[in-house]
Amino acid sequence: MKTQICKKSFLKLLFPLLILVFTGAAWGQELIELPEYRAFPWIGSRVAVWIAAEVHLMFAAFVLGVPMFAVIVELIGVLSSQERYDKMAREFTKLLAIAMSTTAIWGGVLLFLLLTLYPRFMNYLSEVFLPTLWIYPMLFFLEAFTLYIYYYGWERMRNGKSKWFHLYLGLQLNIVGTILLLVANAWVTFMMTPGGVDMKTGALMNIWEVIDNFSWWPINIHRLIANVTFGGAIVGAYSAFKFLHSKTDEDKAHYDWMGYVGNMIAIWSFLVLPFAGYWLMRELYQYDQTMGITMMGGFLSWLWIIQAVLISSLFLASNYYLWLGMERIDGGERYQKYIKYMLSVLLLCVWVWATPHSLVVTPEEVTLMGGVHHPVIGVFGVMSAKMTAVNYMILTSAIGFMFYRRANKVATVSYALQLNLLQAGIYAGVAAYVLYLGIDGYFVEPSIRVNKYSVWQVLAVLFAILSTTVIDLFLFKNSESLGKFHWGKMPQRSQYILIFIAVSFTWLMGLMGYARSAIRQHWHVYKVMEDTSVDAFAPTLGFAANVVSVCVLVFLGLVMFIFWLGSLADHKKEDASQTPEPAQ
Amino acid sequence: MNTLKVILFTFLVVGLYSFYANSIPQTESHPPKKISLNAKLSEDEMIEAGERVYSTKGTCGICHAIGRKGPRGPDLNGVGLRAASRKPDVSAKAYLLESLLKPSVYLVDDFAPMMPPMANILTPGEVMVTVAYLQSLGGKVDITPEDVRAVMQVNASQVSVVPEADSSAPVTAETVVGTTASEPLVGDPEKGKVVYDTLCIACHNPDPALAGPIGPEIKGASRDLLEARVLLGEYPQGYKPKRDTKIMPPMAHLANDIENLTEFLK
Repeated sequence: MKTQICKKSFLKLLFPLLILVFTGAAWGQELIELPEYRAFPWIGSRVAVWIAAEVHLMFAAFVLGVPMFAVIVELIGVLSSQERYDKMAREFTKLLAIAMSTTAIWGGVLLFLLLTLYPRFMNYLSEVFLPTLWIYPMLFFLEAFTLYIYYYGWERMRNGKSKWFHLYLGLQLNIVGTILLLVANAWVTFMMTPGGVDMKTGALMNIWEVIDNFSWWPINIHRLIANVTFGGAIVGAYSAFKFLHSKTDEDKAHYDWMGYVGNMIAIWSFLVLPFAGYWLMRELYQYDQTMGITMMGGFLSWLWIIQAVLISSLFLASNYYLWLGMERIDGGERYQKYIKYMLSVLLLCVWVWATPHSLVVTPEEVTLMGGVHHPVIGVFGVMSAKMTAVNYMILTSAIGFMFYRRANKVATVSYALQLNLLQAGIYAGVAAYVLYLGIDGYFVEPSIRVNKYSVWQVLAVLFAILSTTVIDLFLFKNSESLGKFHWGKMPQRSQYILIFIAVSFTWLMGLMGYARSAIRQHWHVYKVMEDTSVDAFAPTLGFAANVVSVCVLVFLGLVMFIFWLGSLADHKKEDASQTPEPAQ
Repeated sequence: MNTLKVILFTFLVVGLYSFYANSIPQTESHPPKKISLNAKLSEDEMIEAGERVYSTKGTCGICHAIGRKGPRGPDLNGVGLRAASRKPDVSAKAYLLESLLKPSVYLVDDFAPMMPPMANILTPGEVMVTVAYLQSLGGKVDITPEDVRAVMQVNASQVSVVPEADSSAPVTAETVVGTTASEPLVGDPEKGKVVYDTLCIACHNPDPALAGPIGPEIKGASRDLLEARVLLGEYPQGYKPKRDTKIMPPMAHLANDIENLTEFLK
């Protein structure tokens, strides 16, 4: 009886409640009119969303990039039975476990800011992307749980068949992470190169075309590689930070080695990025010429000079790190004499690459020069010269790494001289070919220069790198060793170089993020939904650089906090291991 | 101590990049202001708005210059005065309207026909203020909304300036725009070849039977395909494109050459 009364009372309460909820919600929808925009205090809506998006993206790049090589390093450890690889892979993953929650927090901040500050725009995006908004959180759950099982199950799945299951978890982590990346990229690229909607009304026509829009795959590939680069650079900085704080030679050796591996991953994946970037730019030109012109010849053209300075600094820094690294290898002194030549080539290339296409000059200076291009260095401001300079920098770095690889080795095979000559011939031939195309590029149609010469230059450089690496395998078969690598015997400045590389990569990533957003100009969704807010203009590069700097400092500050948290766990373990056995 | 050094070093690197980015030329890019033909603008306001269109949405400065020869187009200094004497009995505003809407009709010596028709890029209001700005470069501003309305209400491809009896009279559709649509449509392959060699080979192969660096082979293209692709930038219903790119812009000013191109490509 009592139960029946309760049921009746419950239904009496529930019914009006349901009416209130549903009808109230319906009335609410009718009554509440969404504002176009809301203002964020002090810094404004755009800057608030900008910082949240960029910091979220930096963390996301880190948590998607690091698992790729964590799993590869773990696999190397299993196949080579070397414990140090396993230790390093686990250390990478420890950083991930902490960074994952920070990524989610910044993702939440970004979402709330967008929902509150840009309601009309978010309303439209959620209409278009509805199914992906349901899939994304599920994927995120799967990614997070896979990561936590992968990290916390490390000890438990250390041996036997369970180790292979552990590796599988690492693989799953990467696959789910990549799908997450593809979904998020669909949102971003749709804003740049929309497809699958009515361009006049914005109405959804085909959800797959919305996702698989013009720049989706170029951005997917570009970001996938860039994430590896970024992850490697941050791991390098982490190792440098730990190296500087190491008290024992053993720790120094471990973090020196870890920093070297992180940096190598960053630099080698970085060498592929310009090709992916070239493809992306080409696709953007094909989608809308105005967009391409805005980026390369319009108000964003000076951005590429900043980019040139950043990438040139990265090339110089990574080469300097390699040269310093040769000092810790017995036999490395044999190659020191070549450093001055490599440095000269690199500096010359920096000079060419950083030459602006059009100088900002007064009318009097134009009269004196006979145009807006400088009579002497003006010839270096065009694509032909810059492409040649970039390829020479890549070639020089590859030669530097070849010296590093063979620093403590002496070839013993009978055909050593011939193979050495062959390698020298390949490098000389490719250098001459790249230079020839660079010079001839001045005298051919732009379509030939862009579509053929640039591609041939890149392919020639790739051929040189790959073929000389393969030749090295034969050349140093059964080679004689002059000594060993003295890991940990690196000067402190080498670790600041690693930190410099990480800071520069992070800054470069922020700058490129700005470039990608700025080419939409005054459109939320290019030529579909116009930005009518007070921020519907592209700010100066200086202002953009200041915001990028703030993002970088916020991100690196949080990363340092994460490093510190990680070290707390280490201290705890050390304390536990040093606790004396209780007296019997 | 090391932590402090790392923090200071990081601030130094970030600060240097920011300093460099702030020391290069700084410009903001603002969206073009919407200009309606119905807006009541004074002469100064029209000139100011036209100058803005010239340097932003119109992207005129990429090819033209004022006070010196441009990279691809003529010096526009004094064009407001010269415009009145470019073609006999054609007023400055009529000539400038034609130059914007059908730029290949009259070419200044030594310059190639590469300017796109601005009717595809600018709104009628923007065309008006751009003409006003160009007239202000040495001439008298007398363009009116009616002049532009009269010209742009009809297909821009049919724009053709005819002599006027009174150059100060308002430009009307009847006087400025030649009505050539009623002429019989007979294709001339020679004329089609001239168009092809002038414009199309920028992307398509000089031999239309072969694929070009950007555009595919187009030998045998039907009139329907040419009309849809060249004039509207679209494909006829059910047609499967040879390439997936969208690089080719619509060229409405070639409306009178569709028959010629069809004949040439047969």
